[in-house]
Amino acid sequence: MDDVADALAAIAQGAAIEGGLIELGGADRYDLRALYARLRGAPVRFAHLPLTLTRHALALAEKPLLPLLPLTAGQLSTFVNDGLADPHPAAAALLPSPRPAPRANRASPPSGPSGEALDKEFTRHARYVAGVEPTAYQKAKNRDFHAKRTLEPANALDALLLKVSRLGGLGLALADSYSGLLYRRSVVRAKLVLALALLESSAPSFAVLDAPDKGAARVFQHGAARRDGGRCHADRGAGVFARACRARAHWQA
Amino acid sequence: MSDRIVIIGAGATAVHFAATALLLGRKVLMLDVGRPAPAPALPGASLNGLKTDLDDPVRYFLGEDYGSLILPTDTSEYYGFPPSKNYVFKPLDDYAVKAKGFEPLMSFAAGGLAQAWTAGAYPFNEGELEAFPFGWAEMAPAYGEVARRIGVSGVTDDDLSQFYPAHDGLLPPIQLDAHSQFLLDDYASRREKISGKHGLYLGRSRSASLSRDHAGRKACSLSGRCLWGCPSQSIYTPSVTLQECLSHENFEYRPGVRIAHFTSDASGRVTHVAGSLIESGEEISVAVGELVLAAGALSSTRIFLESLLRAGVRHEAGGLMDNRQVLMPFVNFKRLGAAFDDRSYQYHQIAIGAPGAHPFDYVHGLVTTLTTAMAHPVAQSLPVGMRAAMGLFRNIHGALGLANINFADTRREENRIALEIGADGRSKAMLINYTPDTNEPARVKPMIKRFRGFLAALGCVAPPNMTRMRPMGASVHYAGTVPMQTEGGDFTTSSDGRCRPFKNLIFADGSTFSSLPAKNLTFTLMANSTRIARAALG
Ligand SMILES: Cc1cc2nc3c(=O)[nH]c(=O)nc-3n(C[C@H](O)[C@H](O)[C@H](O)COP(=O)(O)OP(=O)(O)OC[C@H]3O[C@@H](n4cnc5c(N)ncnc54)[C@H](O)[C@@H]3O)c2cc1C
Repeated sequence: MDDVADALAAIAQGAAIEGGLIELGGADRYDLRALYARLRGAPVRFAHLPLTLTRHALALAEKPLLPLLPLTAGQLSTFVNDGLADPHPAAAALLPSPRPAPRANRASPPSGPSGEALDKEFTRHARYVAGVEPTAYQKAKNRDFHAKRTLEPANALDALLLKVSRLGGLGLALADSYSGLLYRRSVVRAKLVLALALLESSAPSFAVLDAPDKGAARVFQHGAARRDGGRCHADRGAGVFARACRARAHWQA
Repeated sequence: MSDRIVIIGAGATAVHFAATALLLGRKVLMLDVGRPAPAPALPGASLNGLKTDLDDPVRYFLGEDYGSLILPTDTSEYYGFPPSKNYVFKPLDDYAVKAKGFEPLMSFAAGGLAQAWTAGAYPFNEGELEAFPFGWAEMAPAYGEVARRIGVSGVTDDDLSQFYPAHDGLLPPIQLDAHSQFLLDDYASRREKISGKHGLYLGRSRSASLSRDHAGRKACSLSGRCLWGCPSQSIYTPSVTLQECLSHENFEYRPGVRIAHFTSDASGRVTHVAGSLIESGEEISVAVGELVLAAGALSSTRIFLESLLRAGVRHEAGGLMDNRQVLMPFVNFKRLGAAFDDRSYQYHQIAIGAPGAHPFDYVHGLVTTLTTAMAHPVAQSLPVGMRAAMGLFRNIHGALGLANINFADTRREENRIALEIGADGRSKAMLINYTPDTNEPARVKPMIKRFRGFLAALGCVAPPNMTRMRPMGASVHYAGTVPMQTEGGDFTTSSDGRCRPFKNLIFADGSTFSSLPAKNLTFTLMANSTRIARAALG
């Protein structure tokens, strides 16, 4: 981040660059395995998932379950390509001495984020977890929580996840999915739970969190249909629930 | 002064003893720690109305210090207690308890633990009373008397009626929430097949909640606020009866008092109770005519042991009981994606009965459909990211349920309450030791399977990894340390609650229970203390 900021500052101050795309890279190159190990400060054990299979499974599930999925096939594909910067003559001029990647003991975030940073983070979390914009009251409660209780990473992995979650939408989705599957006590998950608790305790967001999806409601109609002589009422709709409902009615017939 | 009845405690047992004693024309002084309840927030609002209309709804739902917020880093049960009920469980300073194999929960509130209860009100039947020195005939009038006082709703003509005897004063049941109604309808359409296969039965719960106006209290308005504290007292709590007693000229209530022990004379008459004022710590001593210990089984036993110790007798009270509970969350696949109505009664409205070889072996399941339960504790327990979990939760919310399965317990001497004595000969802590009987796994495991199979027959899936056995003590159904026995020795009670060898010491709470059937005990606690009051004072 600091390197990019330096380069942008140099451009803003009139550094001579010729058109085209300039890719900026850091001082070191890592594969994902080495990056994890470096940030964690200890060897990491990886479990491998077959990429092609996972990508296809995600692609299949995307259509009916997109709102529920933490990660899309497209996002997963980004892992197939490396993220190395292509050499460019201007890059060396803009960034004569890129900074080395941080070590694990430097991975923990500065303690006590500012109020504004908390608001930003909370807004991102609210959008991500519930698709809503938090109110000023909810933001104030989030600040109040952080003033009374601390949510700090417990170890280097936790700190890494928090960092990843702050990289943007994909980072947050990755950190969240990883936490759900493998590290449910992570500080990222705790922050998302906090956001959820604040949103469900107050207006107007509680209403959004109470409502089932439209597609899923067809299953209820299916349930009602059983009491109605097995007739399926979901005769429209392409959602997986509606299709299941029609298939079952067909099979019953 | 000498005819004055002094009652320790103001919980479910104490207030019904007091109300009955007042009816019999006696003078009553009630001494209680008695932490007061906060006034209900916006009494006319629905649950969602609170979220919209309160100035600081997050404070109401999660607490000033976010104590009711459950984060993944916490190691609590699925649900924290709502902040409005914190006063019920606020501990007492210097009240040291060391427990092994038992997780005690005590209350020092005016009204006691039942200020936060879920109002399940089930009478024990003849078979369940077998170990007691009296039977249904003696208990039936007391159940009726209490039901008329507090209002109990339920039915007497469904599949569970064979296990729940009928008593006087039963009101019609409260309107069912949609999921409970769905389950009952589904069961009714195939009941012979389902119960024939699994040997389990589904029916309506009995609850101390009002389906119509009763004794100055309003019928349930379906505000959805049960969990947060019924604002209209439609759900009975002992504070209702305490209020009634307060309007009686023969009744005096002194909260803010912690009783430590009693003293007796050489003839075995209790003469005084001694303790201290909570605020100032000032020591007090109060003369008694009859002393009634109704401070909850654990606290009464502690006062009793402390009194014996000060009289030079080191006693350990055996026979402590509690119901083992298993929590079995389930998803009703036939209701996936169903909307739910937050304006509905929130506690268990239906129950599952599992008869055994003997009536005492009956296993009692309470089914709650979790309509207004908060999402964040459940969503975070799902093994996916929070966004996916929340998406899932929204769509399964109307399909969720929780079966709370209760098992009977019997008195075993090795389960004891004692005092830890310091070098100075004074007590330092209450010691509680509990070991489940060796046969427990053989009773519990097959029953879990039967419940899971029964729920599956109703289209509900109970994921095995989410079924949890709660620790002993968690059901908060404590009993058995000074049992009623027809021919008991010292430190047991007669059927009228009088403790041998004392002349004027009465136990009115769960300490007196001779066994502990699976059904929630509090309705029987209230009926028994009413029966004891009539038998001992009448
Ligand atoms: C969340 C929850 C749900 C429950 N749901 C149900 C249910 O659905 N059905 C059911 O049957 N049961 C239920 N119970 C159990 C029920 O609440 C108890 O069985 C019942 O409250 C016990 O009443 P008690 O009078 O024996 O004692 P307590 O309720 O413990 O009352 C003790 C009283 O004594 C006072 N006291 C204690 N020590 C002292 C002292 N040293 N000096 C002075 N005063 C003292 C306290 O202030 C209090 O007033 C539930 C309990 C909980 C916590």
